[in-house]
Amino acid sequence: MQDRHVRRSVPLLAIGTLALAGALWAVGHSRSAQSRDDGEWTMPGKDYAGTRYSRLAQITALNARHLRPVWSFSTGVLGGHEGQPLVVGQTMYVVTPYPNVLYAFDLTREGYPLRWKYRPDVSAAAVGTACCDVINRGAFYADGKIVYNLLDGHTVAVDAQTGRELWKTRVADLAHGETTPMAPFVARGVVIVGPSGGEFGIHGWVKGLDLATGRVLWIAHNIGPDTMVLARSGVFKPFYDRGSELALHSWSGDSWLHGGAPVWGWLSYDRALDLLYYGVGNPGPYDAEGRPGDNKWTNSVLARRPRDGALVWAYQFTPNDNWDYDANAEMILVDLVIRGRPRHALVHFDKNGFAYTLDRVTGEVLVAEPFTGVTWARRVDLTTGRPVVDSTRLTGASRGSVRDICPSLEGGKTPVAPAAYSPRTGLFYVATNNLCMDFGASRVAHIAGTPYIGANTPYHAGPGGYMGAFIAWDAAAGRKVWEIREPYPVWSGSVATAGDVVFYGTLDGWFKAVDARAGVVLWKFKVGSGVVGAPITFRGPDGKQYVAAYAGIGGDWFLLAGDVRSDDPADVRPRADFAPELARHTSQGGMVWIFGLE
Amino acid sequence: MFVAMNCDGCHGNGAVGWVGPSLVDGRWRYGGSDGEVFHSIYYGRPRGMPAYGGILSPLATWKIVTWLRAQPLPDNVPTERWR
Repeated sequence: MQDRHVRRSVPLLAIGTLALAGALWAVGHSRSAQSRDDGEWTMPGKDYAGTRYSRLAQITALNARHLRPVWSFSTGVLGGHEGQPLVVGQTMYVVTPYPNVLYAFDLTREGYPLRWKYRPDVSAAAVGTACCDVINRGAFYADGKIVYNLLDGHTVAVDAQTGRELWKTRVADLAHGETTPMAPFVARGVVIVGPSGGEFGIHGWVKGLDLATGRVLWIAHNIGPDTMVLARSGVFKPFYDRGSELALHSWSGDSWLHGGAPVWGWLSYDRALDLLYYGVGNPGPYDAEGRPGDNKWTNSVLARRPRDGALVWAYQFTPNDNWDYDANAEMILVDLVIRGRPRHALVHFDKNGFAYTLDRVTGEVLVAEPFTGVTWARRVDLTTGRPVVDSTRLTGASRGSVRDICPSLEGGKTPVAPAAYSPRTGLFYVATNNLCMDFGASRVAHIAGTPYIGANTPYHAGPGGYMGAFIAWDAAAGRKVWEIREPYPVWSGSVATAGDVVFYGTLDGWFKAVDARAGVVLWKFKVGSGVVGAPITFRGPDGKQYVAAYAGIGGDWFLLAGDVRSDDPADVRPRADFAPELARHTSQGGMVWIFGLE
Repeated sequence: MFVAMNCDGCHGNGAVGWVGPSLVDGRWRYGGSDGEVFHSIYYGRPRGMPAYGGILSPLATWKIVTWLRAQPLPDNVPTERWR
């Protein structure tokens, strides 16, 4: 409502409203930058800042217990249903796991029948090149187009009205272990995409495509020489590092050529600064002794200009990664008051178990505190920006099996499960894991198109015996405010609403509504399969608020959960040692659910 | 060799299943005879199994087949029970 007023106002009034709008305006909430109407959900993170916050407030702590399912749809696909639906106007869009069908549901008609569905031609070879199930993390709506990635390395744009394919561009190379499950991001008419393949020895990158035509405009690598990383003197100013060729000299020899550095998570954008932010994943192989040096810019946050990919700043969360602590989790942009000063912040819950609050203008670390059990490092030194590592938790082929490293390979939080922020409570709502591991690394050969890993990493529950928690986090102070413990790691995204209700789902198949202030579960429903996607909320054509969520366990849990693939008689697996009961509660599934008030 | 060729990266430690299916459950999607298992490794299969024939000699491939066949099979009890 407030933003519609701003759009129609004269400039002076706009400036006054600008001051009032404060934090939200600073991250670029102009007409083109956010959902056109707050009842929509037009990009994965809801807005360019990635807050996953909706101003809809019909569902409240008082009435959430009256939520009920109003619709469901089987996607026809089994596999991890990560990502989230989009709602644009009166249409809901759903992208499935491979084979990446795009459904467009008509929300104006009872039963939400399809307007159309788009059945892309996508290569089956992608199935064997994707490390961690055939997931897809969703689409982005821009300029009348639904833009998303096919698993086999293509980005497509589909006409949002008609379902007609507008362009299809090959961006990644399956033969070299690259796949593309991530959700593209569109800023300033540029579609930004990146590859998975940190486990396949890729040379990771991001590419910018022209939104209108799909033509590749630029490619920026995350590791290697400055000319490939697009780090230019005078433009690139990392806060903690000096000199040139940082992403080359922090590798031994030419190990960066197969050094990983994938981009499989979420992006965000600050319109005022014209900076795009994203996280980079792990270096390869897992045996760190084969790649001495910091291995910049793996496990880092990078800030780039969307029109040409130029690198403006970078910060590395975990140098010389010994533990697969990919930094692909979302970078949520909010303005916070930290130690008395208002700051333009970036908040990131890293796999390494620390929650970071950075200055998004410069990359300075303002706060870094553990949000779950951490044993690999004692703390983060705010002067140097570097973690103080516990040398007894270093891994490597010469060290045998190193015990009790927390977090596990799955991270303190998985980047798959994006957090949400409520400006009303000032809190972040985060799906977390309480898992630790033993880690035994081994030497490994790089064979193109096959895994480049070299590690055996059994898991066990962290202290307390529970394996996950949904938490509320104060990113200015660096502390947990409340938590809801779960028997299993929490792997769903979150959504926060102005009704002060937040939503999340569990691996054992529950979808829950929670009081955002008190941390109490208000309502839950068994959705038929584990939840690994991110819920959204939207206003239907009838003016009512609805919540939508996917059910369908998978992603890493396709690998870890034991025998959940009931549809293949040739694949009968033992139980997961650390979670022997999980397959009692869920098998693979593929559902879209919508809930509303009675 | 199973580890050196990165087989465990997809089929899991001990080939119990990971990204790719279990190879030690006594069941085979593309056939369980020696020749069929050789074919799967050497020529690859649909749904993601790469062809190792360009890297492994037939003799090396037969060694992997032999190792797989030597793994202990579970008792043929198709029921999984909890409490």
